[in-house]
Amino acid sequence: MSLFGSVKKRMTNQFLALIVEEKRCKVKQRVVRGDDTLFVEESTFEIESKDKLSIEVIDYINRLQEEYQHTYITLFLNTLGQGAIPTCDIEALKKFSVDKDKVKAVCVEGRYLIYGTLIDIKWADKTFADIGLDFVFSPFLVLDYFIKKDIDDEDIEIDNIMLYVLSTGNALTVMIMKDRDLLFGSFFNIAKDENLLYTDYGESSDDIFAELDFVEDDELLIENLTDLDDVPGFENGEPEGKLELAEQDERFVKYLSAALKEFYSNDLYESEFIQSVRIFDDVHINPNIVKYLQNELLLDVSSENVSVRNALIDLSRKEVFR
Amino acid sequence: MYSFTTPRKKSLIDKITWLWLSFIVIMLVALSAFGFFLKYQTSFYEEMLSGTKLTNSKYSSSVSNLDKELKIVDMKKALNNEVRSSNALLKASIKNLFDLVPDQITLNEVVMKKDALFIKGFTPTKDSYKLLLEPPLKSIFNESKVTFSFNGRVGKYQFESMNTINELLK
Repeated sequence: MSLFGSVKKRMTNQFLALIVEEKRCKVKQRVVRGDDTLFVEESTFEIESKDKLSIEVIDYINRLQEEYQHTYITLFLNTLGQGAIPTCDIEALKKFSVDKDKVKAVCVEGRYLIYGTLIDIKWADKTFADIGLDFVFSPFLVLDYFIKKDIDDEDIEIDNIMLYVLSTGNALTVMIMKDRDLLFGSFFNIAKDENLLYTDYGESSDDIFAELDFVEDDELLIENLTDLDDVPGFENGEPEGKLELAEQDERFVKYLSAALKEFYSNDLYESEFIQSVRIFDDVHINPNIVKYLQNELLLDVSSENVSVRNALIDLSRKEVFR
Repeated sequence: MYSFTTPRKKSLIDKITWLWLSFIVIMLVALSAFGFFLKYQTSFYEEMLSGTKLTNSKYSSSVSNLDKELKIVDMKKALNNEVRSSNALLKASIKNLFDLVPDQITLNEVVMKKDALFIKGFTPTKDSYKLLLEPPLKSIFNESKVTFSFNGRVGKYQFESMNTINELLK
């Protein structure tokens, strides 16, 4: 830790973690001094749209910022224009149909590359213009945070090849790991059957098409899987065992299956047989999802309740006190 | 840095603390400057004081020299006065002596000392001396001795009178 980081750590710092979903904004406030947590509060606000924070949220966060000189605001990036590839070579993005000039890419410990479109990062800056923003973390980084904890925890048995899933309110982040190395990474929005190409980024549709043409492959994949008949266990439109799933839960299973199919079928990925799934659950998913995955995909599923906002705060603290 | 954005720059201390710290720093600088000024002034005055002390000691030694000279002058003055008074006394004594000497007796030599008087001269007769000069001499001096010798060339007695007194001029 640098001297500057060490000094900052001894002062009172406030960390605000935000997850902005389609209709709500979840905030966690943690005030820390050194290693001691002085205050923690969680709040959820209704918002009209993901693209516009309500006055209530803006006032609340600005009020918190006025209380503490050192306030760090962290956003969980849950927009579709992002991904992770199993190499840190930025030139490799081209192989995955990603234009490196249109994304911000970050190499994570030399193990893999996470990227987010400049449009999405600009969206974050624009949306938080009245508040300010310090960190924007990829969901892959958050999922990796939980994976590392799992690997370091000797009480948890994990396979050599693991499918990790981070379930947040409106999104699904999937990483297939071989030990600590990434084999496959994918991100889905499960809030609605949203066609990515119609996402409103506040710019002309033509520009969006031009900017986001790299995700078309994934989009086609999802389009092809819209019919649950394509998903093992969803044949004939009526799953066996008559487990009832809500619309969003169905999308959870559908996109997870799509990710698996992509991993097995796409030659870009080093294909390995997956037996185990570990779900990090921030929103208390329907237990039937786990049963579906176990019964229909024949996967060994385990889940753990986690707090993404806590992870965001921990990641922010590492960045601030590095 | 794993964030897609760069965090906002944050000052280690807030604006109020900045103001306080700035004020304290300015005050410290001002006080230090004032302190240095005072120190400079003090050393300046100390130098001036040591210079003055040096001058003072010079003047003191000069004063002591002057005192010595003054004492010498005083002594000279006293000596002068003493000489003057001695001379006056001597003059008076000589005058008295000459007043004592009658017309018949002539003096050839007079030696006056502090406590002695030697007179050499001619007297027509021994009695003239003994009657006219010896009595006043004896009244002044404790001891008065006289020797006579006849001088045929002059036809008078040459006398040599030695008169002594312990405290002639007192």
